[in-house]
Amino acid sequence: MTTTVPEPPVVAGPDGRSRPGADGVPRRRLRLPLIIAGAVAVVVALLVAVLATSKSATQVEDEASSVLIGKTAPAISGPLVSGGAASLADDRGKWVLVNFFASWCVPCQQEQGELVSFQDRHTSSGDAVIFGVRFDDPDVGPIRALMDRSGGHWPIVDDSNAKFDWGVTGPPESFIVDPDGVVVVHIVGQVNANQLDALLGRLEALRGGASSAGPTTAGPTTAGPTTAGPTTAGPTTAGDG
Amino acid sequence: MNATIGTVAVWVGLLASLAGAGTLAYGLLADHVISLRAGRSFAWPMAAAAVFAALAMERGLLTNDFSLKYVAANGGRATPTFFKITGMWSALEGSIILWTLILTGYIVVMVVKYRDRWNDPLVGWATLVTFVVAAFFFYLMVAPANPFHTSSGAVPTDGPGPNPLLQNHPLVAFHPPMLYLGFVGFTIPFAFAVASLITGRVGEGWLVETRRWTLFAWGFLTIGILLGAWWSYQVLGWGGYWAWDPVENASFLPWLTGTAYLHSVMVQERRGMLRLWNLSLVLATFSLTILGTFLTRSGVLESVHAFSTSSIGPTLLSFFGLVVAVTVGLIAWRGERLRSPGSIDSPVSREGAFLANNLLFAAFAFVVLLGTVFPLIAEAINNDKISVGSPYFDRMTMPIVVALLFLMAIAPVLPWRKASAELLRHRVRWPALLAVATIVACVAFGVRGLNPLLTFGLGAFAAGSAGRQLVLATRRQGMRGFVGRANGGMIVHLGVVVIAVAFAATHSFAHRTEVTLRVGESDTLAGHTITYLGIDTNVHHANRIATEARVRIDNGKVYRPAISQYVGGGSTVGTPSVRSTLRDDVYITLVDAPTKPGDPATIGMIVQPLIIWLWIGGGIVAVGTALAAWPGRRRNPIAPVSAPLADGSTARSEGRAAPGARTGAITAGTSR
Amino acid sequence: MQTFLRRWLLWLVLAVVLVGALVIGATRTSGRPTTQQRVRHITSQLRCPVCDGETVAESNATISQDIRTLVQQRVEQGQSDGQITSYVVHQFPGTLLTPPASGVGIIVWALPVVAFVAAAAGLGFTFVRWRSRAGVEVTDADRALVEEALRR
Repeated sequence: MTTTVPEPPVVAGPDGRSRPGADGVPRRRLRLPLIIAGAVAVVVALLVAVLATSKSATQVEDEASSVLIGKTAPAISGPLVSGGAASLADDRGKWVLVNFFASWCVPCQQEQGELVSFQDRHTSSGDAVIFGVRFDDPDVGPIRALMDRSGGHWPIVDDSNAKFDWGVTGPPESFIVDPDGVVVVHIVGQVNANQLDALLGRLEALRGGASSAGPTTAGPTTAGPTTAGPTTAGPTTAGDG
Repeated sequence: MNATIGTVAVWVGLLASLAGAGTLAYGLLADHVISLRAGRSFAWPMAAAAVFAALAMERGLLTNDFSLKYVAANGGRATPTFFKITGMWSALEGSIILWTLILTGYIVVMVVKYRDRWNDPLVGWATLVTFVVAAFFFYLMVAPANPFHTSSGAVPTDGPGPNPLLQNHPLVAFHPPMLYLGFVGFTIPFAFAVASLITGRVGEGWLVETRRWTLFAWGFLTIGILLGAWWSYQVLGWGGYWAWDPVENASFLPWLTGTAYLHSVMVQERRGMLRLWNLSLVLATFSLTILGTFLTRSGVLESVHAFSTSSIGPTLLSFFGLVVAVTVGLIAWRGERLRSPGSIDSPVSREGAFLANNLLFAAFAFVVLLGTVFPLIAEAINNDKISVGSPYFDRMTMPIVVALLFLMAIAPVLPWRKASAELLRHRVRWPALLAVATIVACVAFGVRGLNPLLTFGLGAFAAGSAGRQLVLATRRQGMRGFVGRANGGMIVHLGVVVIAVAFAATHSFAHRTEVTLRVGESDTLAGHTITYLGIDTNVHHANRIATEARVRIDNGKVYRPAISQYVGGGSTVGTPSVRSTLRDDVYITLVDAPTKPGDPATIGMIVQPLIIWLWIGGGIVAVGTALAAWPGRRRNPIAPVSAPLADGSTARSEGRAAPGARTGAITAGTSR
Repeated sequence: MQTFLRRWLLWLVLAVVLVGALVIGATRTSGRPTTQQRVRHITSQLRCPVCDGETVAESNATISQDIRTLVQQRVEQGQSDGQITSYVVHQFPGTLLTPPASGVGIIVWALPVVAFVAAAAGLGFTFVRWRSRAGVEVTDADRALVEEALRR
C-alpha cells in the first residue's frame, strides 16, 4: 500500500538502533516524544491517584472538624424561652452539651428523645448539662410545644450571632465543652444518648489522667450521628438550596 | 418485561461489541480477510441492542412500570409525558443508555461511510477501537450502573418523577442529547488517531478522514454547552449562566482542546508539521470526555449539575487511566515516525498564529483543569480545605481570552509562511479602525472598566477581520464565498465575537436588587419598572403546586415567577421569569412569598444587557459550522490530499473536488 | 524619516487614540458602591457551606441567607470587605472561593503561569532551531527521488 509521503531512508546505527539518514538530526531528538510521553504519563498517574483517593464531596461535608476544637468556647447569651436570660458561662465547671437546633428541623425533633435521656442520666450527678441555642427559630410557640412533648427542660437561648461564632451551618449540630470552657468535640447531625455517654466517659477519663488541663484531642467526631449523615445536608428544611 | 428486554439488549450489545472487536482483531493481526470484513457487521446488532435498551426504558417510563428501580426513582404518574421521555437521561443510569445509543449510532454511520474501504487496516483498527469503547459503555450498563434493576420486594405504586429542576423546562430535551452528540462524536477521530498510531500511518491521511467528524462533534459540543448555559439561566434562579462549576468545566475542557485541534490541523495539512501535537490533542480530547464523565458522576466534586453519586466512579476512572496509558504507550512506541519533516519559516505567519492559538488554548485548558481538581489536590497534600471558584477562573482566563480575541483578529489576514509589515498594515487597516472607533464610541457612551472595553474593542477588531475575509470571498465567488472551511470559519468567529461581547457586557453591567413590594407597588431598576400585582397560591399544575406572583414588567405583560412544590416531594424549587429583548433581560424571581394573599412579597430583580446575544451568537456559530462542513471548491489542486490515483489521472473535479479528491488519494492504497 | 512617518502616521494616531480612550474608560469611577453592591460582591466570593457548589450570593439555604444578613450588618457598621470576608472564612473554613496565595494555594496561582512561560519559551527555542536548520542543500539525488514519487 502506498503512503502519500515516502518514508525517509532508515539507516541502522552502530548499536542497531535505527535513525533517519540524510539530515543528520542528532539521535536525542528521537527521545523527546518519549520524554514528553513519560512526563504526561506521570502527571496523569498522579491525577488518577488523587481522584481515586478523594472522598465524595458530601462525605467531606459530613465529617465534622471545627476550628474551635481546643479553643475557648465563644460566649453565648440571650433571652430564654421560659423567660429571663442565661449564658453559657453560667455552666462553667460542668460538661456542657451545646445543642444548636430549630423547631422546624426534622432531625432536631427526632433527637429530642435522646437529649432527654442524656439529661436524665446526668441530673443526679450534675456533671453534665445541656445548653440549647436556637438556630433561626423566631417563634417561641413551636419551641415550647416541642419541649413539652419531649419533656426536656434545659436552658434554650436565642443568640443570633452564636451560629457564626461557632461556625454552625445548619441544625442540628452539637458541641461538647469541658468544665474549663474549652470546646473538645463537634458533632454534625443527630446525637444519641449512648454515644454521648461513651464520649463523655472517654473525655472524663482523659481529663482525669492528664495532670494539666490540655484540651484532649478528642478531635473531630465522625462517630455515630454522621452516618445519619445526610440529615445535615438533606432536610429538610424548606429553602435549602 | 421491560427489565428483561432491557437487560437482554444490554447483554447482546456487550457480546456483539466484544465479538466484533475480537473478530476484527483476528482479521487485522492474522491478516484474515474474511474476519476483517465480517467484523464490521457487528455494528448493527450493537446499534439494535442500544435502540432496544432505550425503547425498553422509555416504555417503562411511559407506562409507569415501577418494577424497574430506575422508573421507581425517576418516573411518576404525575409527571407530564414530555418529561417522562426525558426522564431516560435525567439520572445517571439512564444517561448511559443515551450515551450508548448515540455511540452505536455513530459507529453505524462510520461503518457505512467506510464500507468501501473495509480492507484498509486504518479503517479496521479504527472500527475496532470504537467497538472497544462501545463494549465499555455496554459493560457499564451490565454491572456498575445497571438501569434495568428491578425493585426487590413490593412494587411501588408511584414514583417521585425526575429531579424538579429537570422537569420544569423544555431544554432538558435538547441539552443532554446535543452535549452527548458532541462528546461521543469525538470517539471517531480518537479511534482513527489510535488506528494511525497502530498502523504506523501517521501522515496526513487519517486527519483528512476525520476532519468533518471533528467539525460536527465540535459543533454539537458547542451548541450543547450553550444550551446548558441557557437552561441553567432559565431555571436556577441566580441570573447567571456560567459559574465555572466542576461539571460545566468538565464539558468545557474537551471543547478547548477540540478547538485547538481544529486550528492546528490546518497547519498539519499544509506543512506536514505538528503531527505529534495534533495526535495528542485528539487523544486528549477524548480522554477529557471520559474524565469529564467521571467528574460528573463520581461525586468527588460538589456541583448543582452533578448526578447523584454511585459506584460508577472507580470504573470510569479506571477506563480513563487505561485510555491514557494505551495512548501514551502508542505515542512512545511510534515516537520516531512522528518527527515532522516541515518547519515554520517565520512566527509572523498564519502557522505562527495557529501555534500561538494552540499555546493559549492549552494554557486555558490547563487552568480550567487545575482549578477544577485543585480542591482535591489540596486535600490530598495536607488536608487543606480550599475552594476554587469564579474569582480564580475569571482572573486567570481573562488575559487568555483577550489574547485569543487578538489572534482571531490578525490570523485570518496573515498569509501562510511569512508576512511582511507592509502586507499586514494594509490588510488590518479597516478592522483596526473599526476597533478603535468602537472603543471610542463605548467610552463616549459611558462604558467603563478595562475588561469590557478591551473585549469590545478586540471583538470589533476580530469581527472586522472576519467580515473582511467574507467580503473578499463573496466578491470572488458570489454565494460560494460563504461556504467551505475558511469562510464558514469566519462566520464561526463572528459568532464567537458576539458571545464574547455579550459575556463581557453581562458580567460588567448587571444590576441587581431585591425589594419587598406591597400589592400594587412598583420599583425601578436600570430603566425597567416592575409592579407587584398579587400572589396566586396553590396553583395546580400536572406535576407541582406553585405559588405564583403576578408581576408586570414595564407596564406591559404580566410575568409569573413562582415557588413550586413538586409532587414527588423534596424541597421547594424557585422558578424565575425572564423577559428577554435584544437590548437586555429583566429577570425576576420570587424570593419570599407572602403567607397571606394581601401581604407584601419579596421580588428579586436582575437586569443584564445583551444576554440574548449569547444564544444568538451560538446560533451563528452553528450556522458557521454547518457552512464550514460544506464541501468548498478546492483552490489549490496540488494540495497533498489530491495526489494522483494509481491510474495516473488526477482526482480533481470542479465542485465536488473535496470528497472526490480525498477518497481518490486513499483508494489508491486498496489495490494491494 | 519622512517615508517612515507617512507609512506609520495612521497607526501612531490610532495608537494614541486607543491608549487615551482606554485610560479614560478604565480609570473612570462609578462612584461609591452601594451597600447592596458591596454585600453582593463579598458574598459572591464565598461558597455556600451546605449547598452543592453555589455561592452565598445565589443560594437560598438558610445559612446563606444568614450570612448575607450578617455581611450586610457588618457593611453597614463600616467594616471593610477584607475584614468581613476573613471573619466568615475563619468561622466557616473552606468557603472562600479564591484560593489563598500562600501555602498550598500557591500552586494553583503559580503553576499555570510557570507552565505557560515554559511552553512559550519552548516554542521560542523551537523557532530558533527551525531557523538554524533551514540550510538544507537540495541534491540531484533528492530531485530524482521526488520525480519518482510524483510519477507513481
